[in-house]
Amino acid sequence: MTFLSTRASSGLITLALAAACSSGKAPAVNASNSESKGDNGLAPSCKPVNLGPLNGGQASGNEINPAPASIGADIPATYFGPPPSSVNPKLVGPVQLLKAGTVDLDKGTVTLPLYKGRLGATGKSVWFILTDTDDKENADALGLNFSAKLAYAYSPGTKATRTGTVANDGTITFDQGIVDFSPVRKIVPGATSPFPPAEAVAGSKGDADYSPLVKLTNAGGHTYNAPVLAFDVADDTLAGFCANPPDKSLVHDRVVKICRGPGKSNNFTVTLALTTGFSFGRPIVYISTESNDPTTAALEGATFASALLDVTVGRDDSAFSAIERLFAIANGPQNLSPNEVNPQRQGLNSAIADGRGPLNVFGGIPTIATDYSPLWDVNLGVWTADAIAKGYRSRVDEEFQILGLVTRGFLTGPGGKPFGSTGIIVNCPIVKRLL
Amino acid sequence: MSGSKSPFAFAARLLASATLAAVALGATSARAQIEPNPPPPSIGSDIPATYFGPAPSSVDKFLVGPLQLLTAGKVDLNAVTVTLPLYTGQLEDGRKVWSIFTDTDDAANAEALGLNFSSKLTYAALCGTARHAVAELDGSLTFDVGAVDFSPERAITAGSPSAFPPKVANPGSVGDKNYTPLVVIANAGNHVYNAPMVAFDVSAEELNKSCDGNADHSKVHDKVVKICPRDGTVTLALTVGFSFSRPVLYLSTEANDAVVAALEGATLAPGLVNIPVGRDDSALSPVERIFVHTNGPTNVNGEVNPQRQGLNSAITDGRGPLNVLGGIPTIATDYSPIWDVNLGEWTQEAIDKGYRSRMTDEFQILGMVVRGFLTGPGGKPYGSTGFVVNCPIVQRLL
Repeated sequence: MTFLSTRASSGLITLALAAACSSGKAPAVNASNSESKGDNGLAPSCKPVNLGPLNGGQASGNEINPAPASIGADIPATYFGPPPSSVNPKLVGPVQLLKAGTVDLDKGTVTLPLYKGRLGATGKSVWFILTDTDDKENADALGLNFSAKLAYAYSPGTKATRTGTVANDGTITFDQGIVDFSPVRKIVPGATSPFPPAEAVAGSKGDADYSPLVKLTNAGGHTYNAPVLAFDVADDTLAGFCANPPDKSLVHDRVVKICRGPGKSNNFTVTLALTTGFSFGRPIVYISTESNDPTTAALEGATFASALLDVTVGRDDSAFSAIERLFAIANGPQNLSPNEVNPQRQGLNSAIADGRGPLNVFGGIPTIATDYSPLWDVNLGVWTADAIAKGYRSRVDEEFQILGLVTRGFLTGPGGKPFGSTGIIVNCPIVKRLL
Repeated sequence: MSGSKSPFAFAARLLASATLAAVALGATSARAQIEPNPPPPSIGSDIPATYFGPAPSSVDKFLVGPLQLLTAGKVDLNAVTVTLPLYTGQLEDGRKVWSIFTDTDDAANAEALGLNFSSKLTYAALCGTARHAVAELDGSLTFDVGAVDFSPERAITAGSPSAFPPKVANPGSVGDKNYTPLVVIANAGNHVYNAPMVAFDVSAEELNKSCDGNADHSKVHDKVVKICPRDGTVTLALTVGFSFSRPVLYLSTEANDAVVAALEGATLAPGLVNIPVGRDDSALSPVERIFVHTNGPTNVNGEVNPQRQGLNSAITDGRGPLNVLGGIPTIATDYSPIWDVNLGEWTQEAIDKGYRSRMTDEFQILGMVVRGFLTGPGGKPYGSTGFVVNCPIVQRLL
């Protein structure tokens, strides 16, 4: 097929650092172990940002939580019927999609079963979660997201997907993939605008073979999304992250807590920080665990997984496409002052400057469309100076709204280039629709 | 009912507050262009649209569309019209009634006839808010009451300094005190139907002159583009809006307020004045909320502002107000074609800070209300105005 994407993902890394200012003006802030909220101030250029919690401000501001339906009505909320989703999950929510977990919207977290496996060659422990699979019935049974597109992620001779086998004891033996969680996440805003950052270091890095996807050869050949959250760490060490803050040099930056449950020693749960966004106008929360671009991984608090460079982007909802599109905005509206959250705020400049989330816009998710994949093909939009001058810039929350603005020339790719895939992929399993 | 408000008094206040500087207006129907028409999904992708799978709604109607909801009709997206079956009937005195059917609380027959199902219509047949009719052996309906005068000429003159409220707003058709589009059909299970009248006391021969267009709006509803008893059809102009961020098309046929009826190109239906509002999705509530803005963004230097919305925009540029509907079928369970108008006004502070934009979702709007950036007119509390509009949903564009 002639339309196969040939873009080089490494180009985005260049793009992301294109406006790098002189680094080293200020000492980098080691924030990856900190869960304290940033000051939400407007970050001065070229100084490291005080990285806040990785829940997109959900815990601190409930920025996208729907207002009560009783606002402006003559009756209190108690007289309203139940959400339409109680009749049919495809109607207006809330709807929890990743049912394997327990969502705490006040804290902006989800608590999931933490699985222990091993790396075949070494026998070292691999701690991971399960979020998505192309096995429809087992997705339903396990409370995972079903993604038909994951069937297209495995490609022999590439690193897009690991392989693994299920052992008699129910654990997975992975054939490949090591993650180093020791790096310290750091972001230094750019000189002229916070994005692209002058410096961005991801807090964890996979080896060349690490992909969050695993094809289980003796489980129907199905592909699972199994992001690794800790590697080669003892059970007792992880169990210590229940009462005390986790050591981010040992675990994924999104880990808030790991607790050992009753029963077997490897019966664990992990609590992860959620990110806020939208899908077809509905506010959503999701997990962000990997990216194939180090800058994006740093911004997302995710693991840099270069193996995902082997996943083809740009072919959206066509045959053999493993991805779904995600729309990120570079220069959406920002807060006007540190004291007030702009109800239109959005984008990477905002996220770096005020410590809240970028409020990315997803394409299809389960119960909204048929084309969901946890592998998101990042389409990066930039509002033109013309659009900004005319007052057309606002928060956008729906794919076709964005494509309409692209059609009219008010949103372009970076540097005025055509809008479309950047080559960057983020692994973001959907967790819940808030509407 | 206690939830009723005083729409006429409210409209009078709005008109009284308008400075009288007139700007004549034109448009009586939706422009033949759907402003928020979704572009092809291939924009920004590496593949042409032909390689995309079908719309998710082809697998399950509850998923992303397009999806036609009022399947009794044929939608023309280029002309922004719907062609529906034209039903004949009569008043008890024999005068001819020409109607369309759009909604009912009879779920099975709604499905069979391609109408919208609205369980809330069961609560709408209150004293005076619904006509009563009997289905005759020939299939026509004989109505007990309700006449409509289609002879008035719709006129709107913009207000000043802002276009809304208008200086002059005369609806193009006026029902008598008993006219409501709702009807309880006694020998059809006592179900409630939404049956807006599109012509009254006029012969089939006269209407057949408009089979190819050029409808005479002194004899038919202002939304009629073509009407053809010979073929049993009527073609009506559609209005564009949103429901939970999905662009939608709907019919707008009646309002219980003269100003609103004039703005909507609808019939003034005094029979709907007493319908209770404000109780949204609670027991016995016959309405669903529609969110209208007075002072949304307007066009900049003649260019269609991608954020444009609201009554100031609609009056000055002739395009629609892009109202935001609450729940519609396949999106929620709380649909009613009788929409309880919640009128929002952006505060000066919100405008100055650049927070004003097009709104497309109910809860997005309520969030702005909670933060004080949207209020009721004149800074009053946000909520029902007392106006209702009869707007049957026709199609989701997404």
